[in-house]
Amino acid sequence: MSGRIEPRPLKRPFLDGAARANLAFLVTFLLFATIAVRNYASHVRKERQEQQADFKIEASNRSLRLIHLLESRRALLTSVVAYFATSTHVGNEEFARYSSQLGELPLDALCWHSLDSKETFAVGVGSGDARSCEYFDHQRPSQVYSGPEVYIILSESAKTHDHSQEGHVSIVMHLDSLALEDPPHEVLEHFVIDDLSHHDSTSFRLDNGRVSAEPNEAVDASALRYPLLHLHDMTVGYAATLAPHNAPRSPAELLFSISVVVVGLLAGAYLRNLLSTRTKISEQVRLKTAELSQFAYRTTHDLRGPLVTVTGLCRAVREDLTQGQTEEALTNVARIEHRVQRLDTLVKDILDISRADVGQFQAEPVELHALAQEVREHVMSTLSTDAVRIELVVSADRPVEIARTRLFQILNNLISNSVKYANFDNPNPRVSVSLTDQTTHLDVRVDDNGLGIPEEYHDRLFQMFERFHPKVPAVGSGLGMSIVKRHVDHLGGTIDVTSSPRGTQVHLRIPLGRH
Amino acid sequence: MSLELSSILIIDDNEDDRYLLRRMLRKLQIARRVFEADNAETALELLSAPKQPELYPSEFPPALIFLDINMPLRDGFVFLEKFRELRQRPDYAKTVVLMFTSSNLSSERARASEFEFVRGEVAKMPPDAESLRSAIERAVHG
Repeated sequence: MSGRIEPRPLKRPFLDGAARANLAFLVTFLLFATIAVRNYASHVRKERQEQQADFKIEASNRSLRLIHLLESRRALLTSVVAYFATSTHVGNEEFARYSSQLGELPLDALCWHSLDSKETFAVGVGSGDARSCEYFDHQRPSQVYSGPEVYIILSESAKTHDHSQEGHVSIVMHLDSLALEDPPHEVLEHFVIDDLSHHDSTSFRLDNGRVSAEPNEAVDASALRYPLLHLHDMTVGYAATLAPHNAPRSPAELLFSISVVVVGLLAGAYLRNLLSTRTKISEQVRLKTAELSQFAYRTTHDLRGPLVTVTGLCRAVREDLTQGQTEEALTNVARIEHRVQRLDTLVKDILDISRADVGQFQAEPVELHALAQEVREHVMSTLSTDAVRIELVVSADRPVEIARTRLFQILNNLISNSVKYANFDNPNPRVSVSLTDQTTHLDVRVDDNGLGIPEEYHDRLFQMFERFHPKVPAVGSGLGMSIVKRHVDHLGGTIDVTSSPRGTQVHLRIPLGRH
Repeated sequence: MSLELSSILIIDDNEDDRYLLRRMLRKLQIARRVFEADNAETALELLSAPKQPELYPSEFPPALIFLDINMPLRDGFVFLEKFRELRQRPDYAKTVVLMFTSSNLSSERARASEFEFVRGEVAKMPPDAESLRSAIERAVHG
């Protein structure tokens, strides 16, 4: 038998010819497409990099020129910043320090900070950190630029817009809106400040050191604008980006924009804080000035009154003598003497009240018994009276450390008041004074059984030139209690006064050993 | 014909100033009597005491009051306020006030001038008796 061998069936190809051709085409296409896309992407990236590089170089050139421009106006800027510094002159150590360093401060520290250098953001005026901003030092061009700048600019005028640069962030301070009180004339003249809100499509150029502004559609300033400062319902500054319209907007740029808002907020907060501090200080200065001018008025009035009286009395004496009325003349001479003594007391009190604030009183060991006796004798001789009994109770085993003159004046004024306003309807008018060394503090009590201070005047007790007993002839300057208060304040002590028609009790607690 | 007033009241806490004014008024012989008070309360007591017209039939009430506006506790203004009420009485309808002052505080002067019976001021150091006389005449007749 011959076997029949079945032919082996042909293996079916995995892909037929058409499919192979299709696959080859697809692979080739993908390959070319990838290459094309990569090339295109690379091209785009390169183009963008070049664009950004150009932009950076251009921006840095402009920045340099701006620095030069500002440098040329350094005197003006300095005067503005100095004005800021002097108008907040008291109590602001930072400003005081800044003011003294103003001459050494690099100008660029006044007006800029680079965002991407990760340095602390510095708002120029008054910040100690501003001095670290050497980054943009035009003496070292290699470090000129690596990111967009933020300018804090004191703009010059509405017509010369040197306050904004394309591709930069400008924080424009409107000096004339910052409620500057009576700014120097030259500052007003040169610093009428514009805002950015109406420069939506304006570019700012520097030509030969001069700045010009002109409409430019390629600039989109509306991309970001953040109102920086609101003062008295008025927007006085903006942070804004001015970027070329066709510039690519990358995530980095968006991030940058967000950073600008954050920086704007920070700068706004800083400036607001600066202004509110300034306002508070101005208010303090205003109150102090009002107090001083009231003091000056009252002092002159109280000095002039007796002088007018004495002049009148002198004329009377001359008239009396001319008419041979010697008795009357002598009476009038006594009146003059009395007035002049009163005037002397007033002048002494004015000196005391001034010295209570500005005088240097050193703490020294004070023997309280001796001091109390001395004050009692002084009061009796000054007021020429022994009608009021002055009782002294001193509990102290050791001399206490205290500014002697202050304590003397406190006791002298309190005891004198008790004697002057004694109630002579009382059979035993007296004032009892107790001084007790409580180790940590000195306890002082001055109690009398005098006329008391009418309740309605208790809140005016420590005011200057106040006398509370219209029926008692004016025997003092009206300064006694303010002198006491000032000394007690300087000694870090407290004072409590209670008063009724039966008498007055004054209680002082004065800390010991730390003056 | 020289002016002769029923009386004049001086309200001033400074007794020497009262003395000097009284002395000058006496020299001018312008009033039959000069009353004095060193504070507002005493002055008002004096003006409103019911027996005064009996005690001084030809001299009460005063035709003119010299008032020191700068007394302690704003006593000058306390007096003006109270006197405005008192002046409703027919016998005080003609009494006028002259401020008597050694200071030039315009705000106080302006405030005092708002009272219709305040007729100007006299400085505590008048140049001479005659200028005082004419100030008084203007106040009383004006």
